[in-house]
This record gives sequence, structure tokens and C-alpha cells, in this order.
Amino acid sequence: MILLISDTPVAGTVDRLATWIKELSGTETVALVKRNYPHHAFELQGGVFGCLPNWESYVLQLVKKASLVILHNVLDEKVINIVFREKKKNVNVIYQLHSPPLEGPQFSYNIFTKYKFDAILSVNQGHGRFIENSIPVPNIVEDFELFMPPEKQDLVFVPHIRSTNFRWSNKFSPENANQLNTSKNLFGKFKVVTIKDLFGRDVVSHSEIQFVLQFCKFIVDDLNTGLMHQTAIEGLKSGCGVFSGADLYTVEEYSKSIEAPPPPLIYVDGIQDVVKFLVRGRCDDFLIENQAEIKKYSRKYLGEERLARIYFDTIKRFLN
Amino acid sequence: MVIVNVDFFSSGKVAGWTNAKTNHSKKVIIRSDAGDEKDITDFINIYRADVAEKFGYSNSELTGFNINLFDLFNTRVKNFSIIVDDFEAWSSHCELYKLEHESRIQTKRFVEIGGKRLFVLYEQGSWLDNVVGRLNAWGYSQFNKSMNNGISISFMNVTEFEKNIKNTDLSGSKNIFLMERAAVRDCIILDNDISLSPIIILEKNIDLSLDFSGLLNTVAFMNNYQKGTEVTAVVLREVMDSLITYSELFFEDDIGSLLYVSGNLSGKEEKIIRALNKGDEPFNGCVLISEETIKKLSDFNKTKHSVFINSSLLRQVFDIVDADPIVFLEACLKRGIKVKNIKEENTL
Repeated sequence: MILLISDTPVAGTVDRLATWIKELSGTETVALVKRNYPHHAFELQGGVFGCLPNWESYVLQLVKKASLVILHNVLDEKVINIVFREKKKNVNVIYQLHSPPLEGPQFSYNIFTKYKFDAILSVNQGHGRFIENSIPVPNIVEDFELFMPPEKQDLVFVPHIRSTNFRWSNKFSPENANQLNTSKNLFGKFKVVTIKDLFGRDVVSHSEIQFVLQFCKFIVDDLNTGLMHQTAIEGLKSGCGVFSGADLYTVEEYSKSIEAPPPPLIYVDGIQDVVKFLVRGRCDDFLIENQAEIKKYSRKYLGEERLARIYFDTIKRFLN
Repeated sequence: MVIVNVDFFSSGKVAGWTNAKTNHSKKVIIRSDAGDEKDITDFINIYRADVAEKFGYSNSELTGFNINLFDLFNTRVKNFSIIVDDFEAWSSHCELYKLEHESRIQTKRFVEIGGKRLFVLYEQGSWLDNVVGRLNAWGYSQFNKSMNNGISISFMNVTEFEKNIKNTDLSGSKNIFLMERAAVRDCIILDNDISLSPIIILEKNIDLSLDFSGLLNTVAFMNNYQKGTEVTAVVLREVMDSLITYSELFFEDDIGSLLYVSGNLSGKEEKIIRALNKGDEPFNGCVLISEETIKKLSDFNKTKHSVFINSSLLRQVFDIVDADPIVFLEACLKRGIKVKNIKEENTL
């Protein structure tokens, strides 16, 4: 059995990985999530074990059966201690890191000095820079198809849920929003919308976002940090023009780890480039000229199964 | 009698001991000021030799606890109580007023607004606390602001920092934090804006993999520290001296001008950089000029492409300005410096 353990759903990643690892390895794979987010944005196949009064015995029994354990941003040392204490001798323990330095929940990567992991994985969207010798792995972004081909609407979607003024999570700042807002009358028929504008609330489920992306012509991903996010990949897979501030490191890491050319994003240096692009009035022309390439790239390199295979190929050498 | 003793607490953490579990098999709960209750009986899992000795407990009887409140409640807790079987055995409301300032060295008792300040932050009783104690033994007049390039110095443990920081706006000051790894989480949760100032993370032995800004690399380069150098009182003093002595390098972050680092330097590049430097705010990062825009690091060509960096960022790359340009560029990207790629023909 392969065991994935996390404190939270990590934006649905852990459940998705478990499904694919099971499919590709033919080995029973279990995702153990300790607690859900307060807004329960992700349906979890295996429930949350933290609600059990004696969750330790449940985790312990599964650890004893595991042939590989992958921890995802786990901070609870009780959980990690159980893993190292109860695992079979030759079983590898891998840690997948999902957070930038000096930010929660990991802050200064304390866990890595306390425990000796057999490998540290980082998400290939630019996160490899944060920890020496980490192995970049792809985010397995779901394939999503509507029951009929969507007719795209003149929307520029800004789907950021969590953005702060920290160096590595300042994806879209209040100043960015202000600049878009003050120029909105110059964007012609294009309307810039946020989650709140579309749904009337701040927090929505992942499937609601996936649905909306299909209908948008443009998506604004992270403009400020240099990293890339799931939204950018989902945007490309939905045939959108994606504005991204991904830097040279991120693009190098991403394309190298998925064995592909640089993704066909609209590379920008900040919000001023997005405003310039939208004001120029050539948005529809851009899509006509580039959508075929975006779709071709997505089909060739970003298919869910392909990304899953790359992930699995990376971790399979740790299987005993 | 049930005893609950708290050795240390902040809004992020509580550590201490109790005999509630050992002697009395009682359920112990923490109640937050918001009314949330968490059972912490299982967290009483540390062997405390001092308690065992005093009360005659065996090695298997665990009395100590060290609980991260942020993890427990998934939010910051301002005040909280420890309840043993419905009885409030301890409350932070009462303790807060009893706390003494525990710093042994501080050039000013409270943090003032504005100015330049070097904070040395440690957890009480930690290795860095001991190192700071050694410095104290040498006399603290040496840390007077007037003797340190006008830079104020504060040595504080996290509890004291929390007390001082609550009503202080640090945004007008130029601060550098020298912080032991164990204190980083508590301090940032306490005040998110701290991470907007440079933080140098200290481990007992210098660990450059924790240097996310490049400042520690620069200091290590200046003092010729090797990886693993032990941070003794002498080394801490040297680190502080480097920051203070070169205060213009480390504390001034006003946007400077773009400086040449490597690559081709013909009239075209000069023209672009001159134009950028003439602007009100030259780009505060690294500028890469190339014939064609490049998207990934491996497309960088050190002979064809030119690299410039804003002088205000030298503190983050001082150790690698002479390195191979690809090493320099990669380090910039790892240390959080933004890289802007400009096409040669760009007229700006």
C-alpha cells in the first residue's frame, strides 16, 4: 500500500495524486487527510482522520502496511513520529513541499532538520528554488470537459483566492486590482471579473472555477512573484490566454520537468503589461492567432494522465 | 493537588508542566478567548527531569507540554485558559501583567518608531539565548547606538518582542532581523509584516540553505565563514558588526541605479540602462538585455546577453557579483530578486 498523508487537502492535490498513483502502480493507494479547510472546498474520498478520538491507531495500522509514505506539508510531529516509528524497515519516506519560505505552514522548514527523508519533492511551478536538491514534480491538473463545447465570453477572469503582501504569495495585489479597475473603461467589450463578481462570494468550490474557466477568454495568473500556479495550467487547458509573470527559473523548471517547451503563456512584467495588452484592443485577434497553439500544447503536454505518469515515474524508484 | 505551571507562553505557544495526568488522570483543556476548547491531555507527553526529581516521579511519568496554539486552534489566540476538570487552573489574562522584561541587553527598553534597528530574536532558554548571554557578560555599553553607526540594537526573547511589538508600527523603520530558526514562525504569526523586512535565519551552525534572501551569504562571504561554522558569541558579534559597519549596504533600501554586472556592453545596452537610470524609479531588480526575449534560464547566453543589477540589491548578491553570470542570474532568482528581460532594440 502507498500512503499519502497531509494536514489539509492541499488544494485537492493529495486525493488526486492517490487516484493516479493507484491507477499507475496497480497498488492500493490511500490519501489520509487530517482536517478539511474551514469552507470545505474539497470533497475528500477518504474523509478526515483528525475527527477520530483515537486517530493514532488508525494511522498506525495503515503505516504498518505501507510500502511507501509521502507526506504533504505535514507539520504534526505526532503523525511524522508514527510514520518513522511504525514503518517497515526498508520503506522510504518522502516529503512533498507545498509552501514557500517564511510563510505558513512551513515557515523555515524546521521539519527537514528534525527528520531524515529519503527525498524532498517540490511543485515544479518554480518552488524548486526554495530547497536545495529537491526534486520538481508536476501538479496533476485535471482534464475537464463540458457536455458541449463552450462559447467563450468576453471575460478576463482574476481567480485569486489567497494573495498576501509576502514576497512569494503576492500574486495579485490590491494595487493591481486598482490599476485594472481604473483602466476598465478602456478595455472595450472585455470585462474584468473576480470570484466575488461572478459568484457573489469569496470562496467557491474547485469545480465551480473549472466550469467558469471554460467560458473565459483570458485568465490573470500570478503577476508579481515569478511563480506559476494551478490556475495558469487550468487556463491553458481551457484554451484561454493566460497572463503570467513566471520568471526564467520557473519556466526552466516547468518545461524541463514535463519535457516540453515553455508553456504558451502571455509573459508579462507586471500589471502594466496586462493593461497595455487589454487597451490595445487586439484581444480577439490574439486568441484567433494563438488559441490553436495553446490547445495543441495543452493536448500534447498537459493531459492529466501524462502529468500523472511523469509524477509517478519520479516517485516509483522509491517504491519497495 | 493538581498543579499547572506555565514556563512560557505567547499568543502562539504555551509550554510548561502539570501533574494532572500523572497523578490524577484528569482531562486537561485549553479554552481560547473565543470560547473554543481543545483537549490537550495527549499533549502532556514530555519527560521533565526537574519535575520528576521534585515530586519523585519515575522516568515513564510524563508531565511536560509544549503546545503550538496556532496549530491547535488554526488561528491566533489572544488569551487563553487551562482548565482541569472544569476548574480554571491557569489563565493568560492574569499572567500577562506579571511578566517581567527578560532581555538582558537592549539599547532602548521599548522599540521606537523610525530609525534603523537590528533585532536579535531568540526563544527563551535556547542556544541563541545562551550566546546572547555570553555577549552580555562582555558588557552592554558596546551596543550603544552612538557606537554602532546610528543603528539601534535590540536583543529580545520572543515573549518580550511580542509585548513590545503590539503597539508599535515598524513600517517606518529600517529593520533587519537576526532570528533563530525556532523563533521565525512565532514572530511572523505575531506580525506578518515582519517578513517584509530582511530576515537572517540563524542556526547553531551556519546553514546557508536557510538563506532565502542572500544576506547571510553576503555576511558569510565577508567573514569567510564556511558552511557549518558554529555561531558562538564571537561569530554573532562579527555578523552584527558586518551589518552595522556596512550599514549603507545592508540598511539602505532606497532604490538606487542599475549597475553593470556582466556581458556585452555596447552603445545599445548603455543607452537602455541610461534611460532606465534616468527614470524616477529605475527597475528594482536585475535587468537582462538580449537580442531576443528569453523565457527560460537555459536560454541565457553569457557572452551575448548583458546583466545589470540595482545597487540597492547588492546586499543580497555581494558574494556572487564576480561569479559566472549564469550562477549569478540563478542566485538572483532563488534569492527573490526579480529579473526583467529587455529586448536590445527596445527604445523604451
